[in-house]
Amino acid sequence: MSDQPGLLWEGFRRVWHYQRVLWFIFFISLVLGHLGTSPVVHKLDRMDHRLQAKRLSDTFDLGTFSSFSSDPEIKLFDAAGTSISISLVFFIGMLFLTGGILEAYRSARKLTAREFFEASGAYFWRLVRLLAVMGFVLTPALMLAGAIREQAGELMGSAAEEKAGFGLLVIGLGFVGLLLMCIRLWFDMAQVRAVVEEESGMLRNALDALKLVSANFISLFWMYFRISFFGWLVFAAGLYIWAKMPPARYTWTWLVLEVAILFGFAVRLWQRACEMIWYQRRYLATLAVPVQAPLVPVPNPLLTIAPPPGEQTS
Amino acid sequence: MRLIWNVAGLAILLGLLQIANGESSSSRAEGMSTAVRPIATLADQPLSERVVAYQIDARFDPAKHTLDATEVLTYRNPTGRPQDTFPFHLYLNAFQPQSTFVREGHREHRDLQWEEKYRASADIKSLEVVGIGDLTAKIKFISPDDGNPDDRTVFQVTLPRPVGPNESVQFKIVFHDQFGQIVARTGYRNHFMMGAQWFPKVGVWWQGAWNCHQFHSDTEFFADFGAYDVKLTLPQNEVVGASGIEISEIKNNDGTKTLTFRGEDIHDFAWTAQPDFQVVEGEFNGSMGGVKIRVLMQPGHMNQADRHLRIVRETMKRFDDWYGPYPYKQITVVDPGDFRAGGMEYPTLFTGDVTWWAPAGLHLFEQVVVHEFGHQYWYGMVATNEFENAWLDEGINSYTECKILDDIFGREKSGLDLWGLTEGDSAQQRNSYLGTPDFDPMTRFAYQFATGASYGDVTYGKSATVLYTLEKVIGEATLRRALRTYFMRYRFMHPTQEDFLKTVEEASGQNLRWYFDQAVYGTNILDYEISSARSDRLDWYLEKPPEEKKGSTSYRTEILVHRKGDFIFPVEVQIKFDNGESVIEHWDGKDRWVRYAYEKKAKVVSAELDPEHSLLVDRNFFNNSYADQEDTRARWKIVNYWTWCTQLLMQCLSWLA
Repeated sequence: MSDQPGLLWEGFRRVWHYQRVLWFIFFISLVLGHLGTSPVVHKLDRMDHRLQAKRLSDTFDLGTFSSFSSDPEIKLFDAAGTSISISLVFFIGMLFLTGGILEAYRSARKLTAREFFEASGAYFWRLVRLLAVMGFVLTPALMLAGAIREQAGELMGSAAEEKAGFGLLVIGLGFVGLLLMCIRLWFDMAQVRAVVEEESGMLRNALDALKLVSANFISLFWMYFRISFFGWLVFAAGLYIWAKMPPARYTWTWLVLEVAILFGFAVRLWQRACEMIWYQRRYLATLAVPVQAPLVPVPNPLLTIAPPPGEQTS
Repeated sequence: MRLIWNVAGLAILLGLLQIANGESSSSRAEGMSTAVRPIATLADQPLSERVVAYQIDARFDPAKHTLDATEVLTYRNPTGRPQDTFPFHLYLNAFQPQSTFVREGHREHRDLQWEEKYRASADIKSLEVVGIGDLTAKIKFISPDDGNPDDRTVFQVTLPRPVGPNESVQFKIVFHDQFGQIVARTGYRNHFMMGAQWFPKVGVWWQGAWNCHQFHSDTEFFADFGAYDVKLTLPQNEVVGASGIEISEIKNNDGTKTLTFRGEDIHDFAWTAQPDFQVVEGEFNGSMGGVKIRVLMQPGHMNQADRHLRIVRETMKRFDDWYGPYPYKQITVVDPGDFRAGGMEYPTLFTGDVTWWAPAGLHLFEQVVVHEFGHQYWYGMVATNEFENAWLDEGINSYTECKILDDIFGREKSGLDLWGLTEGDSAQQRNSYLGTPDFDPMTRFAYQFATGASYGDVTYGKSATVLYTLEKVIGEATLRRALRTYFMRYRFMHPTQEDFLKTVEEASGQNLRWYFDQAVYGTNILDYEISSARSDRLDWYLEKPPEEKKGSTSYRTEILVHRKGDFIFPVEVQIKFDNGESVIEHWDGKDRWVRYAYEKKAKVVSAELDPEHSLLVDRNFFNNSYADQEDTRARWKIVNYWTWCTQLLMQCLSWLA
């Protein structure tokens, strides 16, 4: 189904080659994750000298945890606000880094930290505008998910329609999931174009990306889906191993879960690398027309390569 | 005109004569006779003082979801005084937008959407008192609880002359029901039909007054014991389950069938119908004889049928062994077609709540079945007032549910045992109580709780937790004996909460008012804490004390225990030392704090309140102990999981970037 053999392998190589990007993102998430727990740590201090805590360290008794977490003097889940806020900060950070990540994958050489962050900054506001466009596209999809959930819940309340409701939920949300993947793929390509083509009009860029993805949908989606599926498998395997490990071995269980997180980031970067390579191969193939070759300026790592003839949009 | 008056006068005269002779037509009704050997129970004679006898002939139209019926209610006046006013429930009218039930439901759930498909009604076409005449015009809707003029769930009728003590009166009521799609307990969903609260039911004369409350969002029911003869005509393809036992089936020429049910010594009658119910039957051999277990399963849930039978049998065995016999010939278990009809009790019939995918380790389904069967005892036979003393049925039942599930699955796993996660049913009840521990006492009328959450948390969770804690005071075996005594003494009666509390005191031989006043009648919070536990060298003041040596260095150990809440409860404190010694202290808890001091050649290892962990009503278990040695494992485990969850959230959000 792929029109570009070896694309996944090449993408994997590029992620591996620039793996410090992956480790950087993982490290940031780990540090921010720990920052998010600071109010929790404070609340948990009081269990260090309490015998009841053994019910959480030696096993994981849900009743003990829920009675502890709901204690009016503890209110553990009040600390969730910090974690959510930090997650939003991470999201903005990732949006900022996306330009640098794509530039790193586009570039033929390793970027210095300065080049990486300059590229991140250079594309940030374009990607913010692109995100706003994506928000408009995502809204009806999310509304559809809400409607499916409500309808499925109504059906599942009736024994006669319970399985139909469950089926609707699985198939409906599965469909919405695929739709969201398609939208993500579309805007991933728009991000690639924004970096490669130096696009500044994001609405026009999104439309061009839509045409591009539509024309090559099966090939692109197959690439995107296979990587996602691999990520899901790794994540499920991580959870399975975690569930099978003795609860008292919490350091090891934590390591397993962290590996699952690391793979999650790796998979996402893998998708981005493959998309970039796919676009570059397509672009380079167009450039391979002999007459056009000398006209192409030597690429500056921070400037993008001119778009192929016929795709000049700005 | 004159002829009419003569006939009416003659009828009245005959009626008076009958009443005077104590031999009204109603008293000859089968249900009222004590001479007839019961056929729906395993007993040789009537088990209850049958105050009412209902003979209902009903025709159900599943296409229109309507029911037309004639009800003959024979009421024997047990009040010891003449009665001329009789209140009736007409609870199907609760499912109307202006009713008290919907109004209260909307108060609790502001997003509640009213739809016309939920509308239900019960209309009295005529009400005649045999021997007196038609009193339809005398029907008057009343709202004794909240004065809501739009609530039509209770009506009363005043007779032109009173019914004397121990005399009987017979009401002949023709009514029409329109069922709605199920909102709560009753109504239809697709082809499933649950007929509950579907007929006019007379109130209960209790504690010197009529007790006939409106239908509320958070209340259940209360009625007198009696006999029910119900004829139900409906299409032949319907599979039917009902209270009591089926005694005949006649196939009619119009494609319908008429089923006749007989229920004895019960105080309500419910039925269900669905064409494709799958019937699974089993038997339980109890101390009074064999009981037929009839399970009506949804076709899509047949993979859970054996699970139903197994848990019902296990539950019946324990109730029979621990609390008393189940005297009815049959128990019908309904797997409802809509979850809103699930988890509800009726005499000799209850609804469960299961899904086709319910995993074995998730004991929610078993909790529902054990709980609803338990109501056969705590509601069905010990028929307490669910409006005013809801904790007596829901609370005691939640406690016995925990005991039975603990016995079957183990105390730590009776609620959940799935994927390494465990939770006891009693822990769930306790956590529920901790949600809203101090808004309402257990004794609050059910419809007067601050919120629906408070009603649920206190009536179920707190009551079960309070009874669990009572084990600490009188012992588990004594409490079980008290419950057995309570059941055997008050079955087929309407006991009060004082009847229960006095029975517990009697069985234990203790005055337990100090506990009941705080736990049952009060909203006191119990929270004890080990504030500190430390050992200091006795020679601490020396400039150069000798090297610390285990077994030879002397220490002064002080344990400070603090009562943080306003609930006073005698507690034990266990202090462990590093030479293996253990000391148990008993504190009456009356003061706000107590300090225990020891001088030993050993350091404290830990101090723990309630070392047996039986004080479930204690709000915070974590501050009940103090260990000298810091153990950070639990903290880091939670911190790690919390970090991971935050990272996962980050990862999901970053997908949008």
